[in-house]
Amino acid sequence: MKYKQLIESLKNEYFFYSHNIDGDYLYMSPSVKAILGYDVEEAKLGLLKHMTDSKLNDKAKKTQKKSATGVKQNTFHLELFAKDGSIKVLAITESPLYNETGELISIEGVAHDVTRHVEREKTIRQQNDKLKQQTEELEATIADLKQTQSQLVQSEKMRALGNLIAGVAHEINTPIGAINASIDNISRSLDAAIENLYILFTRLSEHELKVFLEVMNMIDRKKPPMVSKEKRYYKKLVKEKLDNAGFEDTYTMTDHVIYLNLYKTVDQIIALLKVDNPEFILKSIRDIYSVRKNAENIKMAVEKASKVVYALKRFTHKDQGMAKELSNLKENIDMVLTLHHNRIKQGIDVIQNYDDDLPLISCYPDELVQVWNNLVSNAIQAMNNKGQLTITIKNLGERIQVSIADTGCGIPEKIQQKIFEPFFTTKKAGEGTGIGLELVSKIIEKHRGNLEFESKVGEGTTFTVTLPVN
Amino acid sequence: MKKKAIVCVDDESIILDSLGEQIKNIFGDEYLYEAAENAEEGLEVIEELTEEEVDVLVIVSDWLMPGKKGDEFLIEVHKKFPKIVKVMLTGQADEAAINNAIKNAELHAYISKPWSAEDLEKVIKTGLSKIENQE
Repeated sequence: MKYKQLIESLKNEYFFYSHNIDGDYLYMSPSVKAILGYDVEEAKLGLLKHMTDSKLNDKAKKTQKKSATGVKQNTFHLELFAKDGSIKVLAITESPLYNETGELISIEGVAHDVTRHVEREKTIRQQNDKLKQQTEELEATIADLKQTQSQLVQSEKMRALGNLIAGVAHEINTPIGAINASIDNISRSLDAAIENLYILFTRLSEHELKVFLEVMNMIDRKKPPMVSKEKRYYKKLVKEKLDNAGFEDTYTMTDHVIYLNLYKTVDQIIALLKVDNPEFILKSIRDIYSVRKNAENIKMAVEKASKVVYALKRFTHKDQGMAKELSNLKENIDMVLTLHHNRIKQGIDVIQNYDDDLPLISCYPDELVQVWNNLVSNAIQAMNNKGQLTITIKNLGERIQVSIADTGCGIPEKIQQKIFEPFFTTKKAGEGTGIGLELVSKIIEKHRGNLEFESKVGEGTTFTVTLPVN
Repeated sequence: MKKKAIVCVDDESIILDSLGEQIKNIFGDEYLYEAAENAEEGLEVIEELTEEEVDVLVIVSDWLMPGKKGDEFLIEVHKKFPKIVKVMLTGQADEAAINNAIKNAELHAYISKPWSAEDLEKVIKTGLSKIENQE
């Protein structure tokens, strides 16, 4: 037996054996005692009878059977009870031995005690399983956190919306009020116009009817509406002229002339109106023209309300997971100003320095609305509704730079480092979540943009956002 | 006979135009109707009319306007012209402001936008009868 001595020197790990084709052991190395606790003679009575009842051994039995027929098998594992009752795992490598005539004479085997290896492997496998489980738990926690973050973003949006809503209600109630009143005016004017028709057709002379039509044709429909101050100026002017021309009830007539946008041509009107009942002619035209004037007012009111509703819709829209789209930054920012119009008009001068040649930029427009909303809202708050809000949009070629500057209280130096930290807020409990600016910086990051600010206590704060065009 | 006037103050031209015409439609040619876009101008109009010997009887003012707010404006009017009937018409109900106007400007009524012609008529009519009873 070759290497017998060598193998026997590894007596704590290996033992060596050979058996004939009948299964009778010819040799068993003494190290079997060190490994399994059986004496050589005891071991020679057969090791397979000490096998445990396991799946591993079912396979081992089959392999061993084939090996015994002289067909070379791969190393296989065998689980045995040692003499002390402990379980040992052996890696068995058997080789058939043939004589010169090709006859199988014996099987030689090396048994390697791999109990500790197997145990170590088992421990490693268990640790791996544990690790895998922990990883899964961690992933689930991260998913939960992401969900919470998106809920926070949404709740921040809703909080911002809550702050806006009172103002927005006013912005919508105003045009609705105007529409309601204009509708009322139209029905009253039409009723009056129908009444006037009878008199127009039956009592007016041919000349008076001609005057009626001529004055009607003089109305300049394209004339832009006057502000109240202008109106008062022309009222005085027209009344003076009518008084001088000797008309009666010049207050009412002045009112008609102003209403019909005829104040610039009042001299011509005066010349035409040398008739019996000039007031009636003007009033009849006014009742007809009122329909048009009020319809225009309704149109303006509808446009106003639509603008607010559109801004609100864009504001609450959730575009998570959507692709970027080409968007007009100027519109995006002006929409936010629409939502804040109510607070702005209480005493804030808005200065818009927009470059003329601004390209559309590839972005998530609804997310950028959140950015502008946060910055504008903070600016208004910092100024306590009074001051100057300067919005500058510059075209830098590959990039667009937006800066939002206020003349508010400024950010004290000691908290400047903290303002982008989540949940940091200087606002009263319930007024701010403290994630507004964190959200702003996240959105800018997502756009691969840049966010900077400069602030001086008592002078104001400027936030500058730079965004890539593509 | 001394001319009488009703003055409307609102920063929105769509309101000023429609409201003015509506009041004229309801009350006819017996009154003058003047409009102003803010508190400052409102006071200017009242003073001007008074100088022209026109009696300003009623003021209908918005609350939320650039510059001075409705309640402060009406308090100022009340100090100078206590007889004028003051009405607030606004889309945003600020309770503190209304209470301030009731307490310090003898606010006659408060109407919220959108308003109905009936409410407007009732409020102005009761205001006008208040003045008649005083005389």
